[in-house]
This record gives sequence, C-alpha cells and structure tokens, in this order.
Amino acid sequence: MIQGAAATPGGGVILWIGLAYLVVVSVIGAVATRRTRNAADFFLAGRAVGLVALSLSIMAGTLSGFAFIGGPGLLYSVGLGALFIILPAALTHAMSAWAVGRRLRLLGEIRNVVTLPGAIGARYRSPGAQSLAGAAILVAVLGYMATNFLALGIILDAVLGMGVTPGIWLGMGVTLAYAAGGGILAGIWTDIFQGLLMAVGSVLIFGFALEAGGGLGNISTTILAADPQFLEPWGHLSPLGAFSFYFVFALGALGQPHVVHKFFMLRDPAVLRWYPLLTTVALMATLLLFVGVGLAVKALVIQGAIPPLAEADQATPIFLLNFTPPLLAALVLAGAVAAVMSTVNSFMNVGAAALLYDLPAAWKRRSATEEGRAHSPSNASRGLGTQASHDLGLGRLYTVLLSLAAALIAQLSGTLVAFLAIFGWGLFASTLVPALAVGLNWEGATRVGALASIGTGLVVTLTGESLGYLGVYALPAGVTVSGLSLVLSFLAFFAVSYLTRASAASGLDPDIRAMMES
Amino acid sequence: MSDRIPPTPWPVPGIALAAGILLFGYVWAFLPHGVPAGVAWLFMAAAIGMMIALMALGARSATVHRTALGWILLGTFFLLCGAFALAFMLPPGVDPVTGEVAALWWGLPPRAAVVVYGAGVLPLFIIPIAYAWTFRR
Repeated sequence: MIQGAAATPGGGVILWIGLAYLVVVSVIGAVATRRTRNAADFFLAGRAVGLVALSLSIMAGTLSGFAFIGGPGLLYSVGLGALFIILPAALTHAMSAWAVGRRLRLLGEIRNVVTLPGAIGARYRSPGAQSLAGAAILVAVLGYMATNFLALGIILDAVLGMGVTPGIWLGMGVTLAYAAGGGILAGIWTDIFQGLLMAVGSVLIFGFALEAGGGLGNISTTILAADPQFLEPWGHLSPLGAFSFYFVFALGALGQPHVVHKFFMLRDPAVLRWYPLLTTVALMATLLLFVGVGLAVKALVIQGAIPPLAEADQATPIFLLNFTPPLLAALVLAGAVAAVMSTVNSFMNVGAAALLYDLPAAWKRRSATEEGRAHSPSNASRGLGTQASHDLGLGRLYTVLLSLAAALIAQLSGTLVAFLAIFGWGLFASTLVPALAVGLNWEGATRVGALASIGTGLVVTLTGESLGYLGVYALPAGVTVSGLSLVLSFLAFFAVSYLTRASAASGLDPDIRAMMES
Repeated sequence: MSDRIPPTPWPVPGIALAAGILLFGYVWAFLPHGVPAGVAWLFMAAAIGMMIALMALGARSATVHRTALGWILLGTFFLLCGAFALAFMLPPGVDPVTGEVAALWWGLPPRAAVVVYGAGVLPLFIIPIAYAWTFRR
C-alpha cells in the first residue's frame, strides 16, 4: 500500500523534497569534511559544541526512526502501554546531566577521554574493563546500524519504489559519505538541521492528526466504544510489562553511547545548565507525532476511514499520504530518514572509536591514563607526533568497514537484523549504566565491581536473547531480558563492590577523585 | 594514597534496594498466578525511586539550594508514585458492567489522563527547571 509513494498524487513533491534533503545533507557533509583536520574533529567535533547543537544533536540521535515509524505502529498495536517507553522523557535528560554529563565533560578535559569505555577505564584504572565495555558496544552498534540501514531501505523503497536492497545501500552510501569524511562534526551539523526538521514536522503532524480524528476527545470516544482496553493506562500490555518498559528506557538512557558520549564534545560545561530543559522540550515536541498518529490512526481505522493496517509500521506512512498535504508529508518522510541517518551517523562514530581506542586497550597492557594520553584526539590535535593523521585515517577506515558489514547484515538476513536490534538497547544499558552512572559518583565502587557488572550485563543479555531467539524458552508476560539483565548488572555491581570495598580507595587516581568531588 | 573505605552516600543503598525490589517483581512474574497489582505498583515505585536516587547521587556536588532540591526530588517521587497509584484506583474508561463511559479529562479517560499528564508531562515543568535553578557554574 505504501510502495512507491513517489508515484502517488503529490508524489513528485515527495521525490523532489527527498532529493533536496539529500543535497543539503551532502553539502553539509562536504563542508564538514573540509573542516575535519584531525581526530579531535572526527570523534569530538573539535570539543566546540554549544548548547543548541548539543540539545538538537542528542534529541535527533535519541529518537531514530522508531519515534516516526515504529513508535506510532506500536501504539496502534498495543495501546497506551506503548507510551511507557516515552513517559520518562521529562526526567531522563536532567538525570543524565546530573549523573554523567558534568563528570564526563570533566573527565574528557583532564584525561582526554574519547569514549564511554575510555571513561570506565580511567575511572577504575582498568584497561580490561575498557576493552570489555568496548566489545559490548561494538556488538550492539553493529546490530543497531544494520537495523537502521534496513529501516532506511524500507523507507526509501516506500518513497521511491526502488526495492529494499538498493534502498539499504543508497541510504548507507549517503550516510557514509558524510560520516566517513566529516565524522561527528558532520553528524552534529546535520543533526541540527535534521532535529529542527523533526521537531517542526512532528508538531504540525500532531495538529493534522487531531484534526483528522475530530479532536482528542472524539478520538478517545471512538476508541473507547470499540476497544476500551486500548485506552487503559497500560493498554493491551500487563502493568508489569508497561512498567518494565518505563524502567528499561528511563535508566537505559544513561548508557546509550551514541547519545551520552556527546557530553565529551561540549565547549563549555556551563551550558549544561539549560541542556535538560531545551532537550526535553525539543524531545517532547518531536514525540507528539508518536502519540498523535498512533491514536488517530486507531480511531480512523475504527471509523472505517482507512482499512485495518496489514502491518503496524504502516501507520505513519499511510497517515501522511492520506491526511496531510504532500509538502508536509514529504518533509516528515524526509524527517524520518533524517532521524535514522543521524542515529546511524552517531553509531558509526561510536563504533569506530571503540575499534580504535577501546578494544586494543587490554592487550596493549597500558593503563587507561597512558592510553588516553597516547591516543587522545585532543593531544593529537595539539600536534603530538603523527598520531593525529594516523587516528583520523584509521577512524575513517573503521567507519567504512563497519558500515559495509552492517549493510551486508541488513541485506542478508532480516531475522538476524531483528535479533541484533532487540538486544542493542539492553546491552548498552546493562553493560554501561551501573559502572558509569553510579561509579562516576560513588568512590566506593571498585574495579572488580565494574567488571562484574559489565560481564553480567554481557552474559545475561547475549545468553537470554539468544535462547529466546532460538525458541528454547519464552519469558513470562512483562519480563524482558533487557530489564532483567539491567537489574542483575546493578546487583552484581553493588554486591561485588561491597565485597571488595577495601580496594576502593586505592583504585582511584587523585585526579579522578578530584573530578568526582568537584 | 589512603586505604580508608570511602563513605557511602544514602542514594547508593537506595539504588541497591530499588534494584532488589525490581528483581523481586521480575521473579514474581515467573510464579503461576502472575503479578498482582500491588507488586506491579511496587515495581514501578522502585523504578521511580532508582531514577530519583540517581539524580540525588549526581546532584550531591556542583549544585546550590541543595535542601530545596532534596524536597523537589522527594516531591517528584511522590507525584509519580501518586499518578500511577491513581491509575490503579480510578474507575476504568468504560464501566465493565454498565458500559457507561467515564467523563474525559482533557480528552483522555481519567486513568490514562493521570498517567499521561501527571507522570509524563507535569515533571517537564519541575525537574529540568530545578536542574537549571540549582546548577552551580
């Protein structure tokens, strides 16, 4: 039904807006590539990011295509329980600013840390913990990238009717063109453009959704008459299932490397003051599409205005093509592509940094401090030896290799992609959140506690998701592997830190202690 | 370098306790009769408590107006727990016996409204503003 939207009435507008969007992104990428002179530019945008850029970039990177396509579809399917994924949005950015934002920015300054595993390595004086966290990130990054390339292929096929596989490679190629050249600098610049597009488009679509359904009250009345459970607080989920969503997405937000590592890029930590407010407002404005389209499409299907959806993910494309002006539909479809591309770009950068800085940390047998000093983009940018061009070149090479691998995974196996995507969020959360969010604020956390936490998250998530994927067992309603692994990771962190508490003080370098007390 | 055992600020045992309660909730789901509403609400309160404790842990330094911030965080905890408690206690949108439809609150059935507006939207006007107000440069 959504195949080849460009061939529908108004499809010419969609096609031209899509092409114009690709041209804008390409121009931004080309300019950013010229400005990317060293690894500090490539991985940290030259540590020159301000408030608006940080907020829009984090907002754009957080949402991905899920907020535009998967989210409304999920709401259409399971009812209001889907909103528990986004309910904590009003709190998560203040929480991340308090728990990790300021600390990571300071750590980046005093140790030239580039990545979240690097921050763990420096905090616990443990290259092993850095490598383990880097390995976890790399696995999840590949899965996320493959999923997002597949989403790009589906959207491009829907708009251009070109087939999913060519769409995967076209989407990957465009993203790679600016990501490999301009690194995260290109990502930040395009995020500003893409974030604005997403926010404005979502607010407008929310208005059209309410109008199409006759207002929120009419939408509710229509749904209540046909499916009252849909508008119960947890919809068709169990209360535990909805609350489990809330827990995993609230706490897990602290461990998403493509989002949290942007704190390293801040020019001035003082701008953090207004970061939670600005980011939260932008995020909630953008999430209006999620809520509006999910509810309106359900009501419109009940009213018979549109036929029942064959697939829930068609909710947004069908609504756009049937109930909004072609120009707006084109802008929002471009916004959906924008959301996916900005997330992928961040993952490309995080994955390349993990390959370059984190995975080698353990077998090089150097301390996190030495690693940071030797490979620091900041120091490199100050002209220390030939490391700058070496890291920049390797960063670009790893970005290309990761992208090719992810696109191949996306093309070759749809079920494998779905499997990889399932555990991405949970793997990030369970391996990074306790060691980072608690560890950066509590001197009593120990290296062994951090290793136990990361190891528990890695083992429980990979084992649990693999057994579930292979059909060996099914968890009871409301229980998710990601939630369970996050809880167990927290408990392992606290239990082992308590048992090894005698080593806590001696495991802290003086500058790290000063950072934690500042 | 000192070998003293570092002090443990109160949010740390709070987070550990919350993690224990969350595990309790998950384990309960494996039992034959499912999860009762009380356990589900306790799970929710633990998730909220963990978030609030993490905020308090991070806000122990680099903040001003700490006492006021403590009250704000505590108030937010009760606001969120209260909203979800109301979601359990209010009548459903459609009475299962009479079929009567409850009056809508700002376009939504009452139980949905307290969750969406009370737990989802209202904290936007509290926590990010409290962060800016207590931020120490």
